[in-house]
Amino acid sequence: MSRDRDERDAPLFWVTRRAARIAVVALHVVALLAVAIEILFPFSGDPHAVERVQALDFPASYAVYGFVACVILVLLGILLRRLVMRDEDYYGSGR
Amino acid sequence: MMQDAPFPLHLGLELLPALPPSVPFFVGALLLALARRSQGLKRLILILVPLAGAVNLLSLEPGSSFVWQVQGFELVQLRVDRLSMLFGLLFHLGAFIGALYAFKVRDTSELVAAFAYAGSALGAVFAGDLLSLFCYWEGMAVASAFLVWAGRTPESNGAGLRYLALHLFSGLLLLAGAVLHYQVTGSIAFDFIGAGTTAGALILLAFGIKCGFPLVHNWITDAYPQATPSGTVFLSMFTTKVAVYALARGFPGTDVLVPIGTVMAMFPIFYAVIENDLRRVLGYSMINQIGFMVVGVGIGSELALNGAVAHAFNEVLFKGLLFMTMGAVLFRVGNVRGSDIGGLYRSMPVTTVFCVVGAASISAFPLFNGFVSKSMIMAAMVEEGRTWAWLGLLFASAGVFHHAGIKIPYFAFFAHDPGIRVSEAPRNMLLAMAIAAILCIAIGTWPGLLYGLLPWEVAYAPYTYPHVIVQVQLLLFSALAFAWLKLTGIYPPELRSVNLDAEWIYRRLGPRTFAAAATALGSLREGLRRRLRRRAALAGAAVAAPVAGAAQTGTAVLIIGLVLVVYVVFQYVTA
Repeated sequence: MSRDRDERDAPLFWVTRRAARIAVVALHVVALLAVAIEILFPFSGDPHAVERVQALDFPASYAVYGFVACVILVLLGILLRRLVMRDEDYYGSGR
Repeated sequence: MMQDAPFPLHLGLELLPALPPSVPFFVGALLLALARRSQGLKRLILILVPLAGAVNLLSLEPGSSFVWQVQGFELVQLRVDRLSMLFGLLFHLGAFIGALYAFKVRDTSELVAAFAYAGSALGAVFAGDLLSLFCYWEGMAVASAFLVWAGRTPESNGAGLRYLALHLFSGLLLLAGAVLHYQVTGSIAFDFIGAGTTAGALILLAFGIKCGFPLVHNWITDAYPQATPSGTVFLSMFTTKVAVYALARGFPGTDVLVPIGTVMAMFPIFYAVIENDLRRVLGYSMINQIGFMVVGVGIGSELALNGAVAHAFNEVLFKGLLFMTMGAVLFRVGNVRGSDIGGLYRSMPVTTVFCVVGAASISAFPLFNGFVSKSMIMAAMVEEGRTWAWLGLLFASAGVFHHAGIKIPYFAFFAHDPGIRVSEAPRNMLLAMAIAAILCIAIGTWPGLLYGLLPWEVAYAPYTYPHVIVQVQLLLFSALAFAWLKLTGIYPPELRSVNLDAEWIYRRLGPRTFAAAATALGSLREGLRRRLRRRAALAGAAVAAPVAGAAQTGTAVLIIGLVLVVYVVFQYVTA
């Protein structure tokens, strides 16, 4: 019974808090691995690196960009919510 | 130059006369209407029509045509080239998946509308002239409005009306543009148009409304969440993709499309992050994806155009898949508000897996189909030196993963578990989702499957070491940002709410202004009337002092009349 409640209250990705913690740790490991691979095997001189424009020509640039982009996205989203959020039947029922 | 070689899947059957691909679907819609009492017959029609249509489509010879002469105009119902064939195949695939998903729907009118809608979309894609395009354009508008109304709620009634008004307006712009175009060029052929003329600008705006250009985008987020589960799947497959096709045909290389597309890709992701209705989140995400395609068309190189149409192809699959999973949740649970659902992976594990596949595909994970098409557009932008727009789209790419890749599966199937226990989605829905999911993975893993179908020669390799590694970095660190923001409690919770958007102009400001103007006019009239009465009372001297009352008014009129008579007589005598 108590286990059931524990499962229901699990706030994160998976069934239990423990599994959620494992998922988060795994995410960190894989993400850092992706950066490590790039640093170990750099490709800035690679002619196939058409995706790499000058603005992002440093190691792990996409990692930084992705992280910062998402933080900015959420912070601006919170700000936007203050501006535009209204009650659910703002347009009246039968909207 | 578009390739001349026949479409790769050409069957070469010459058993049948070449029919415009819209015909089987219109016939199917008619048959569905006739078979409305027999559920079995309807199901047979649902499955057979897209298959028969596909056989007809793949038997079409390149360059074959079907022309109606009407009032001296040549109405081209069939133009077979690589661009129209790609979208033709896509729409047959979409219709088949949608029909399978809607297999158990009992509402005949919804099924009839769906097939009439698919037929109109195919008619628009194969139309070789602007007049035929206009007719199918309006056909799509009306048929799809019925799909919205099939939701049969007060909300879907209102949303359907707004949807129809905007789409009919788009059709009027197209017609006006077509007439002007004819006056200037003497031709109604639908080829390259260009935005440089008034006619071109009108037609571009008409296409833009159907594409969801900024400020005219809300029909997507307004109507799609109000239709039935299967209705939304059909809706998501055709209208916007026809618009992308029409842009690629009429406006390749139109520079203004690059900033428009970039804005489309960027602003909806902010709304998607704070939106509670998960089908509306997908609507915003759809505008974001179409933004990438619009940019591709705007750049106009062969790589960019191939990328735009390839991404349109893939989006029908992954966005259709995501709408199907959310539709299944809606079907079982009754709503798809992020604030009310969660933990559904226990009850609907298979749907959960399909949703994750759709999420990975839209996020452009390597081995999923978004990866092989979106990157063509990005690479073309780098080639053309569009760095700022490219940075904007990269931001949007990270944002896609955030709101569609993580948010949709997380809030529906994981997150907090309010204790909802339902059955897994019906088997026909699972089968439709499975087909879409398998295609997402197959195209992502073997991009040649799709590249071989594209209208222009493809010399692009998506799977290079740098490309894979930077994409993985981008996505994993976006996920990391989500995890950190969630753990620190900064991530905005799902709340029952409505977020104001451009639609506020015609849903609140317009009606309110109109009402205020009407009230102001009314009180002005009342004020004037009161003044006039006062004047009349004064003019009529003491006689008409109490103004109100029919008897007194009559007396006043009589007295004024008498005064008038006296005055006229007096004038006459003294003259």
